[in-house]
Amino acid sequence: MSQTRRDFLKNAVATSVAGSIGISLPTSALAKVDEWRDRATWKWDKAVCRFCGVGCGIMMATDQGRIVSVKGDPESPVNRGLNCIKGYFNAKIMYGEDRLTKPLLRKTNGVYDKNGKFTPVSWDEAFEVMAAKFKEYYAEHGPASVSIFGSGQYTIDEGYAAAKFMKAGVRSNNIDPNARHCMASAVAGFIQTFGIDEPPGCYDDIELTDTVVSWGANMAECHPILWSRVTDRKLTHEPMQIVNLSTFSNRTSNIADLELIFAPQTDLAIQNFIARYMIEHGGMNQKFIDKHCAFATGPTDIGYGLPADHPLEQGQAMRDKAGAHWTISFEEFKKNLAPYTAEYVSKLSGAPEEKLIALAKLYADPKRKVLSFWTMGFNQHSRGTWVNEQIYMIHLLGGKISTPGSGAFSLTGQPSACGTAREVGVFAHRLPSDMVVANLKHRATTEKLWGLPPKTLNPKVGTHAVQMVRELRSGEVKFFWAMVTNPFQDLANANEWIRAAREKDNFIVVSDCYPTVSAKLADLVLPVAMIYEKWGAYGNAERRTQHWRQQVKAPGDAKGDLWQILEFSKRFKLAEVWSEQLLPGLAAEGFEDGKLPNVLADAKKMGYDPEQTLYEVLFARPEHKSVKWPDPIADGHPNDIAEDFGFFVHKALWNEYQQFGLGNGHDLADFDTYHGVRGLRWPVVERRETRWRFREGHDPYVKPGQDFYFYGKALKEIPAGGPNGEKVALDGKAKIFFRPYAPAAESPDAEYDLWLCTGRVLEHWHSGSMTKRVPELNRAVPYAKCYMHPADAAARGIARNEEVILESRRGKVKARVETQGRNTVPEGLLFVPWFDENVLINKLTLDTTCPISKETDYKKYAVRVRKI
Amino acid sequence: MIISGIVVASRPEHLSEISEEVNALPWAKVHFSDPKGRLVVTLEASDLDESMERMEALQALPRVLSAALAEFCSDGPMA
Repeated sequence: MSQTRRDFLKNAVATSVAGSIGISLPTSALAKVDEWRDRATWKWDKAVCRFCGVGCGIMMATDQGRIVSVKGDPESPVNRGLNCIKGYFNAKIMYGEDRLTKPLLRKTNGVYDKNGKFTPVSWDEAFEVMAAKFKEYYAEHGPASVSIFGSGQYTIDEGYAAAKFMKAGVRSNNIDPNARHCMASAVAGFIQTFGIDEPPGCYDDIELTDTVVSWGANMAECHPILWSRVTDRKLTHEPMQIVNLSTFSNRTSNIADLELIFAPQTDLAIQNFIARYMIEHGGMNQKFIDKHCAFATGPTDIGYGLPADHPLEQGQAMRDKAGAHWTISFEEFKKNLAPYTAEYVSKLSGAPEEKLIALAKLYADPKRKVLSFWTMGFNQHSRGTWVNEQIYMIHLLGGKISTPGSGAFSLTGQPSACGTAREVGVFAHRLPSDMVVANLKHRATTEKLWGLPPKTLNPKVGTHAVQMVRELRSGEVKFFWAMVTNPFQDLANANEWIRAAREKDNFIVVSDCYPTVSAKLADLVLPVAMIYEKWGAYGNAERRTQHWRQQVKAPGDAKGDLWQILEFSKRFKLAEVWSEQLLPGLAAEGFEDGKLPNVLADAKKMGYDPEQTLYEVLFARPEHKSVKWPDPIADGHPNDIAEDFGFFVHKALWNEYQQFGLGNGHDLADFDTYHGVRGLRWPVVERRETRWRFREGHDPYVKPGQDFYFYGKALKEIPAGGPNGEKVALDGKAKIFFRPYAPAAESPDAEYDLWLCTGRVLEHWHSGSMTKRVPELNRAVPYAKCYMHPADAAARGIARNEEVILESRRGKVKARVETQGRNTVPEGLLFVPWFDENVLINKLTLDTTCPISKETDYKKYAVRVRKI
Repeated sequence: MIISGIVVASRPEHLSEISEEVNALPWAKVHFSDPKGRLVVTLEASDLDESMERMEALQALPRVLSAALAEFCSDGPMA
């Protein structure tokens, strides 16, 4: 490159960056910005980052069928032209050398054999064997024997189609996403507190707040773009205070004014101390509480979400009713908080009293705006729902919620945990738009919108993600299809499920882009088209729905997950699934025990033929097929799925899905609107998005004079005064819960003397199946290190970088020890990231879950370290 | 040759010393700054690995609060 050209490029890049972050420049400079990349053949389009839940907008250029450049989208209100290091490699994740391009079936002598070798097969043969195995198990054991392990990385249309196929088609609620591992406690916290899912506020709060408190997160590494907005606020707003609460010191502490390192699990006690302090020191917003809140609590003998025969579950009378709760008086609430003094909580948590008080003062200051963020430290917690409820307790006591600059904000780890898993309802108990399968009215609404005969939908909650693999082990689940996720690396206590997958009578299908741990364990591997090889939409953490167009073609025979679901549905006739089905344990009003009724007669009255396929009835109805492809909204972009099916499948499904949310607080805009904007935050009413829900003047569902109105409908009628009290209606109110501190399921002891905490690093995302394929990211962090305190290492005679054996009661793995670097762990605690399949740290964790949310605690286990 | 555009954040009172330190690096150049304490820096590197190493080096400078990659270009396609 010549010196002149190099200087020109540098100036162009610098000018472009300055423009993106709002440094004003003369227009003559701006005019030159895009000159260097205005190559005639490059085509730029907007898209969304594939990785975390922040939902950054990106611009990508394609040339001759490949993505050639990626940059932060300056027009995106989320990231305003910036990207983190992973964002830049969105283009490269699709071009790993070992990309899967053919269906692979285990075969011996040309026929399917669970112990056979992977053999490339045609799609037709793959679906034929897959449908035969499905039907074999389904006919003998019914809908409870089949399952889909879905994802918070499904595009919205994929999640919608998968849920519809399972719930309406084969009448099984055994579909649950990996989002169970990351978001379920946040969801349960929202539903219990507000009666509706997802955050009241949005990212705009960052630029309006005086305080950011990060709880159990490492935003600087895991949500770097939001962190850059927090940093910006710190630099430009003098009163701004930043607090980092964590079980070890991480990069987020670098610009913190206050760092609190606490013993694992003691966050609940810290929250109760803060509430106690607020009550004592004038931190309550009495007017807000009186008008908009009610106090509540629930049972404490709820166990740890382990199987019923586990020792920790004995005597836990309320383990199956862990979510039950009732109102209490303020006096009772206050009495319950009494033990949580600074002295007691300091002793329990190891955090100094003066730091606890400094933190409580921030929340108790009536004039200070406070924004709390959290991720997996709260959610992956054996009391995950409680700890989520308790952050709302703090914010509700002070009235610091749904207010520009003040709020409690649950960050997400996956790009569409909100948009797909939660909003579409890709869970064992959910239907779209916060409806649930156990509710008769919700089923009726869904049956009407989906054109199903009454009682087609199954009222029995299906297996949640962890239960699904437990039932794989017990042999109750026999057909298991993992999509857009890597469950056998992700699930805690991995050895158990790996064995179950290989040794039991079952059929494991894994739709994947690379040979991940899960793909290698499968009986059938289906190659998938990745994000920019298909049309799609994601919903980020701040309720922002963002769509993108297909940019390039998938390699070989790889096909989108939506295509796979629709093609598979062609293999089922109504007569096979809408006939009477065995469902052990079903007991619901209007249903015969243990059976789903035959609905074919009602189906006939509705004009269906028992010989019709699920494809025709669920996905290619006349109203779907009337949505034509090609469509001008494509603007020259391809759509392989629409080409294959002969209509604009994505738009047709969107039109249908949109109906679920209209008028009930989940309103979404029409398909085309999203292609003209950088996302919109729902509810979107009359084309206007909502930044602060429940707040007069911002949320169209709140009437003038109401000020705040917590209109979520779920769990708003609860017993008063105790578990058996008369029911009261808490219309429009949010609940302030009291929850006590409870110890972790497992703590270090003489035999296993160290805490193990697992998590993420900046360079890799989740199980590393994509980021490990980007050479630059992989070289930067090639393997998972075991972060250890130098004193702990010295005491065991372990040197930095030495490979050691890590052991728990479940298994052992090898890893290299790091005593320096970006994470500084306290004595007695190890941190090991989980992206590395060669370390596979989940062999050591236990499948303890929050008993309410069923989300796994990945953060608190007892392990020991041995020299090799 | 890879050129990255980086936003370096610092406290406003440290702007001038950080600018000097960055300009002293043979592969980095400060182009713009604003009163909030932000600098727009370009960074030259022969490949992506080196580019990332150099960004880490920027991040490691004392008084630098954060260094975020904002733009990225090379003469050939990146993928």
